[in-house]
Amino acid sequence: MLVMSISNKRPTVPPPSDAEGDLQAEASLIVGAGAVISVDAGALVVDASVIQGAGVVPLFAEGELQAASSVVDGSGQVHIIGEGDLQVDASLVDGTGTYSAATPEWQVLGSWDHAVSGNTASPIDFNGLGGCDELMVIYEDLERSISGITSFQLSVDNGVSFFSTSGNYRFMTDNGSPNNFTAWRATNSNATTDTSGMVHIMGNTGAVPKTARMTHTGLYGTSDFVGSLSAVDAIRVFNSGGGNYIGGRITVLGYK
Amino acid sequence: MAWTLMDTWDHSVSGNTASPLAFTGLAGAQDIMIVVRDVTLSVAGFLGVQVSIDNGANYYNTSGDYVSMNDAGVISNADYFRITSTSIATARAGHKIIHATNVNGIVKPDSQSEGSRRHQFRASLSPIDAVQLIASAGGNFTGGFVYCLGRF
Repeated sequence: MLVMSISNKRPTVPPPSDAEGDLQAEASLIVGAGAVISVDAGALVVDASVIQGAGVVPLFAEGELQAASSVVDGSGQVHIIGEGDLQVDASLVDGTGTYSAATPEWQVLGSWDHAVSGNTASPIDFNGLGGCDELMVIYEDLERSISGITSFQLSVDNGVSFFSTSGNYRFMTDNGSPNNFTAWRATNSNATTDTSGMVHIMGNTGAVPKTARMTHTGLYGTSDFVGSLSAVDAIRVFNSGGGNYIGGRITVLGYK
Repeated sequence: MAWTLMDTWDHSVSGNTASPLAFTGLAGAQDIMIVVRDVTLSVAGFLGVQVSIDNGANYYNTSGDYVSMNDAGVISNADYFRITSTSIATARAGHKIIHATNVNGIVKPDSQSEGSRRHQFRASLSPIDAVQLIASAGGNFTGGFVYCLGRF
């Protein structure tokens, strides 16, 4: 058993592997009988006990292997203790057995563009948003066929149902007094003309009310969602007046 | 991931410094935050932020490169992300966060300390890798601190 931590940066060259938890290096990377892989602060010495019969050693991208201070001596040497293969947490290994620890990042998880889709009936649902610490909806120049407010409802069952009861969504006054709503709104234009804005949901993965910041700078700028403490995994964008979206673009981002 | 302090400007160290203050080397940041603390100006103006996609070789500074949105979501052209809402020279504080700066193909929205308009950067959909703090009327930064953070 090895005692070390692995930085969660993506390797520049994903190491090959034949099985989950059993990373292997190409023979060209093996140095002598013991194998030495360069790291920032010196040389990583791999104990002979972890070398497999074919001379295979664990492989990491240069500079991306970090050891706990307790296993680094004064000369920068990393001392591997225990015996057996390097064990990689299953969450860091993809279906092909490749180490793939991902640094959380903003990702585009959904979009609607009138230039691509044409007139589209409200609502527009964005599913598959699970696992995100944060979610963001950016909308640009949305036009509606019927006057209404661009609104948002949330789901915790990937869009099978959306919370729509008054009190599921709340907007707070400056003194913290909540006002119950059936949906969020980020801007307050009850019209058909272009509207742009943003919803930013934070703390999504915790079992807590979901807070969000909106474009609106008054009452509708500070909000929470208390319909469920589960993680939001789908967002519905809709026009309170119904009808079609006839212009603009919506982009949904997830931070994961 | 964590917020990382990328650069600092401190008037007690640098003295009076002409606007703008550039912060480069921000490639890869998921979000970028500028914090201003008690910043004073030689000429009354707004504090704002302009962005670059070529590590500071050029900054977007044309009206329409940015839009501001009112509470109705109606846009107006702007030439920078505004931090403060008053054109003034005396000490001001606040912050600006530009979101999803490393995502290619999207407009970049902001949030901020000021209770007025939000913005979007629309002139380019490429990742942002540098920003500059501007005093809208030019002149010098004559006091205070500026911090630039990236979220990696």
